[in-house]
Amino acid sequence: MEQERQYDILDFDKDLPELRSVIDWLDTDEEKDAFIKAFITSRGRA
Amino acid sequence: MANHMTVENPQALKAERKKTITDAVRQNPDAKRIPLMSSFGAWPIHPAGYKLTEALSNYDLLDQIMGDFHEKYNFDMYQGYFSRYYYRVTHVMGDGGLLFDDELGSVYYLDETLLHPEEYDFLIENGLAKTTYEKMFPRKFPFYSREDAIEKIKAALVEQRDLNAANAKRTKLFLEHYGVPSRSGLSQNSAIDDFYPQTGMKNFGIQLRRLPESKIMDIIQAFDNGRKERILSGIENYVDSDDFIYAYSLTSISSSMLSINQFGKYAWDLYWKPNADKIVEKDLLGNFFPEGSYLHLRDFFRDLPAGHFSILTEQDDPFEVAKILPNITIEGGFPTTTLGKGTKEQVVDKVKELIDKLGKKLILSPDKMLVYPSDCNPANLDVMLETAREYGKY
Repeated sequence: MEQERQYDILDFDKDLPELRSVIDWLDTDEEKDAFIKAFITSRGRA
Repeated sequence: MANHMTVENPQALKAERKKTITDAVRQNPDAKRIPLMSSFGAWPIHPAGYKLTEALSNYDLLDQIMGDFHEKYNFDMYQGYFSRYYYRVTHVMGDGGLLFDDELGSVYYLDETLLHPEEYDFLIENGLAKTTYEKMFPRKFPFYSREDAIEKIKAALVEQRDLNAANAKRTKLFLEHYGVPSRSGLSQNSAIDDFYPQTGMKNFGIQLRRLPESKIMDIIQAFDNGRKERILSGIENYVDSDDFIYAYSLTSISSSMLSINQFGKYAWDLYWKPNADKIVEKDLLGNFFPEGSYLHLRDFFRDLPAGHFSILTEQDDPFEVAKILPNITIEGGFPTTTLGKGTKEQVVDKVKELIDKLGKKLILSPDKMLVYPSDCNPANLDVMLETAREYGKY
């Protein structure tokens, strides 16, 4: 059976701590958040 | 691990390339030879005998293909070293929007409306990261549950780290081993150029006509996300070296879609002009790449002082550009159709015509990003470069 795509499922502020957990190559939360934001804002483009 | 030939004195080679390209942009009458730029995108993967996704999955293999390509053709500057193709990153996200066709050997970007007009106020209020993450990601990538989405995004963050490291390694290979300067120290599009793909090509024109100017300015501000200040301060503090040709480059995909008025208000006045002024003030070099055609915007470029800027020219006639904008050096000029499908005689004649008519204000390169296998006949590429090297000694 084909799975149905979901759209209204993400919450940036709520999800941020979980996304930070994989970025173990950076030290501070600020560095991690900057990396995540740069990833998100560039990945939407192309 | 990739194998690369030994290069004697790469530092001296890098300095000579920097001087050669700088002479062209400065329009130096004492320039010694024509500089050669590669505008090859994914094309080198085809003659190397690999499928696109096979090569783009393997960063060591890309190092080898890019190194072999340089060893064979020896360009002075590259538009990139496969860094624009983040296949592994989007692949773990479910391949949304960026499609690789191994049979045709081509890359497609889907034209999608990822940001809906009723969400502009959400963007203005909540900023780019939250809007992209919550509204645009689920439209671009196939997510089947929150857990599925989070796992994919986490995997993509790790892939992004690996991609950044691979790109940095390849750039270092060219700088330190091959003695090839990188193209730009700083590069940043205008904010309107990010709104364009998010809203979709078709919808972009509609929204620009429908929305009041103040709303478009608010949207631009949201997409700006601090970039304007970052770039101006980056140019202000830029330290020139042989590692980079241009201090700053600006690529625009929207400029051919904007009216003269729209371009002036939403692009030139906000980004192009202040950045150009800063380049001139600091006596640096800058590059513009208005994709497609730009001569309808000629009046904006006329007043730029000579000796600071080059413009990558795709669809406009380079000879017409040279007459209208003698203050700007042309990058490009060589028709990709001739490279792919022309005869040897046509290739020779075109190189000679470009050098005869544009002379020391030309950085020779194909006029398009080459991706498809048929974009380039390797025998014609050999002839183009041989002719340029023999005929382009001043």
